Amino acid sequence: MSALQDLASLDRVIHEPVRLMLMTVLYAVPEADFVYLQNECGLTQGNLSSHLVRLEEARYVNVEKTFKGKYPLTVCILTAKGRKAFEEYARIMQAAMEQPARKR
Amino acid sequence: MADIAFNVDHAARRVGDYWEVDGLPTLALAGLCLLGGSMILWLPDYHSWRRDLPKSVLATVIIGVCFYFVGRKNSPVIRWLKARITYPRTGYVALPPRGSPAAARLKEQDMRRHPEMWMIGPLAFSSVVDTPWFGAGLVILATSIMWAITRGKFPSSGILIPGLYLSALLLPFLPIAPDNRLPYFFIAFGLIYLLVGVIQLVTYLRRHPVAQA
Repeated sequence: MSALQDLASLDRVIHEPVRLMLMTVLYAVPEADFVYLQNECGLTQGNLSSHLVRLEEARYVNVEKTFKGKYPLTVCILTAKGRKAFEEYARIMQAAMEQPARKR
Repeated sequence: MADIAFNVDHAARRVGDYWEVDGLPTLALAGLCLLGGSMILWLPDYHSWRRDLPKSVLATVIIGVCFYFVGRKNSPVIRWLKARITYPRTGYVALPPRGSPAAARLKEQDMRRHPEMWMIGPLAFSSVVDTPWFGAGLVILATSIMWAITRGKFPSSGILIPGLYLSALLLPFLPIAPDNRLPYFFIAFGLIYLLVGVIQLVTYLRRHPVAQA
């Protein structure tokens, strides 16, 4: 299968722009809370919440309620499955972008 | 989306910037510099530390304890303050674990963000020569080189560079023995960091009032 055809097998859970943003941030950091993700990605509470639910359903992200001092936090962590799925997504995209360049 | 690796790298770098945005790490650094400078001044003759061993040991222990609880990047006091000031306003993000490639990249980013750390060599050397003008000239030269290399493109350079020039220009007019030049510059650094930290903290608090329930 060519790199171009591989694009058809892209993970649609990650391919959605907001979820791709969230996965990118969570891939780069060990853990981040709801407010940080909201600020970094410029999302509303409802929008962020619905996309996190989708990522949690796919078991790409773990959402945990915890405390830092007295402050309650909703901490999001990328799971091993999510990390692998994101790396695969990045590999397919990268391969598709490099293919025309190699042929030139 | 074109370059995912670039975006991941950018997100990782943002963590380093975010850690310092509230001014708390700068204030901790200010405290550490002021304490370090005061401790060296407090020791009667820090070149011959064996003459007053208990005092030297006590100063080392105090600095060590303060460094552990306040001065380190992810120290308990900084975390405690961030939990009360920063996380309720702009959220929480963990620093990369020690020894990870991301942590090494963050350290490299810190070196670029704080080029003034390289000044410690000229500052220490300035205490070797008797004439204060030589010490002042050396610090002015080192500051100018730092300015030329970085082109002033690092956080708070607008306060740090004039602060360093001022502390160097004041040196010949103050009754400071050559041995005490290093603690003098430590204290000067502490005061500059204190000003930078207070400005950062006030700006941060004004920009991000705590969310009302």
